[in-house]
Amino acid sequence: MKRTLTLLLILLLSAFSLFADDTLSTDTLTVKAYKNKKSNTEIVEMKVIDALTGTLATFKDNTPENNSIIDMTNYLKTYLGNTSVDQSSDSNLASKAAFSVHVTGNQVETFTLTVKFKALAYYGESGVDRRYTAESRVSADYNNYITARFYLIDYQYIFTDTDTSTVTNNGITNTIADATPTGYSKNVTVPSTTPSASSDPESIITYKWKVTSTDSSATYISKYWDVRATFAMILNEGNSSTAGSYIKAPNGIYKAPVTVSLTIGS
Amino acid sequence: MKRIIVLISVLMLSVFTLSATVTSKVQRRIVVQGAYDSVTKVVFSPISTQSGSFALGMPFDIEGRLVQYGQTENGREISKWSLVSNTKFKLKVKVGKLTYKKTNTSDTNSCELDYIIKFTYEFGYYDSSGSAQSLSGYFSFDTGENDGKGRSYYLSSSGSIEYGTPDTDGYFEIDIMPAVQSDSIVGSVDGSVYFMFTQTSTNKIQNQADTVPSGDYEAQVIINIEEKT
Repeated sequence: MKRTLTLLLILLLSAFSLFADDTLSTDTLTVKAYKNKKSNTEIVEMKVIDALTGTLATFKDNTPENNSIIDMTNYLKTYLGNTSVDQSSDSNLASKAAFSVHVTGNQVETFTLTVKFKALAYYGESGVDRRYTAESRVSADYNNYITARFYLIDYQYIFTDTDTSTVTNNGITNTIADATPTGYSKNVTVPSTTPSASSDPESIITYKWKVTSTDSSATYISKYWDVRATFAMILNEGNSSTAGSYIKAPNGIYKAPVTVSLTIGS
Repeated sequence: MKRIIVLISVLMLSVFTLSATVTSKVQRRIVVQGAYDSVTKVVFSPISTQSGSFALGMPFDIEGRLVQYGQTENGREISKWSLVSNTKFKLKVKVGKLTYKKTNTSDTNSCELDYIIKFTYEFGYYDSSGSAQSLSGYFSFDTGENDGKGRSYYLSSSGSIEYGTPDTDGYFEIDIMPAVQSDSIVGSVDGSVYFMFTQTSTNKIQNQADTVPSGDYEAQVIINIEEKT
C-alpha cells in the first residue's frame, strides 16, 4: 500500500511538471504594413483638442467611422458668465478654438470627411441627461437653452508622396476658399458657417468636404493623406431675440455631440 | 517584502522621469503600479501612423524611405515596449516574417519579406549591494540571416549584448537572459521597437519588386518572459 501511494505521488508530481508553464507574461506585436494600398482606408488617428485646458484627447479607431461625444464643459467655463452672449462679431476666432479634428490615412483618391454637430445641451450637474430646454427650464433666471454656432476657422490638408515630400495647403477663414495645389482640386460643401439660432436643440450643423485628385498621372497621391480641421464654438442664446444679453445658464455639464465620419469615394 | 519596496522605488523613479518630459499642453495618464508577491509583466504599445514630419508608427508603406536599409540608424519606430519584474526572468522574442495577407480564398498571391527588428532598452535594476543601476542598449534580429535558427543574447554588465549559443528549435527566436548579477536581477525595462528591411539578397523590395504584390502585410512578434531557473 505504501509503495502504491508513493508511486501515485510520483506520478502526480510528474504530471504537474509536465504541464508546468514557465511563461510569466507574454504579449504580441503585429507589424502592419502595405504596398500601394488602394482600399480599406483607415482613420488611424483622430485627435480632439480642448483649447482651454490644453488637454489632448486622442481617439483611435481602425474603422472608417468614428463617433465621439466631446464634453465642452471646460471650454464653456471661459465664456459662460462673460459679457456678451452673441460672440459672432468676435474677430479673434482663432483664440477661441474649441477643438480640432485631425484625420490621417493612406489613400488619396476621393474621400469625404463629414463633421456633424448637434446644438450644445445642458446635461445637469451630475452628468445625467436632463437637458435644459425651453420646456424644462430650471427657473426664470435661466433663460431658455443655449445653442452654439460652430465656425470652421482653419483647414489644412497634407498629401505626402514620400516620407519627406509634402503638398500642403491651409487657410484661416470662415470658408474653405483657398488656393488649390497642383494636382488636386477640392469640392467643398459647407451649408452655412453662421447658422441661425435654432429652437431645436437637436439641430444638426454639418460640415462636409471632399478632396478629389484630378491628376491621373500623379501616382504619388496614393501614398498618404492628412486632414486637419479646427473649429471654434460661438455661443448665442436660444431665443435669439435677446442677443447681446448675458447668458443665464445653470452650472453644470454641457455637451455638444460631434460625429465624424469618413467615406471613401464620391 | 524588500523586493516589493525595491520594485516600487524603481517604478516611482520611472514616474518622475516621465513627468519631467510632459509639456504643459499635453496631459498623459500614468498608472502607478505596486506589487505583492511575484509580479512580471511585459507589454507592447504599438504606435499608430503619425502625420507629416513624424514618420513613425503602423501601418507603413513598405516602399517608404525610412524602412529601407541604411536610410536611418534604427529604421522606423513602430512600437514602445516595457517590462517590469520583481523576480528573476528570461526574455524570449519570437519573430515571424512580414507576410502578404490574402484578400480572399481565391487570392493566389503570396510573399514573405525579411526584415530587421530592433529593440532598444533602458534597463533599471538594483544590484546585489542594493545600489541602483541602469543599462541602455539594444538587441536586433534579422529574419533573413538566421535560416530558422534562433540566437541567444545576454545583457552584459556594460549594457552591451553578448552572443550566446544559437538555438535550433526551428523558430526565429531571441533569448535574452540578464547576466548582470544573475542571481538577483529584477527591474524594469522601457524601450522602442524599430523596423527596417534587410540589405541582403532576401530584400525583395529592392531586388524583386515585381514579386511583391500590392496589399496588406503583417508579421507577428511575440515576446515572452519566462522564469529563470
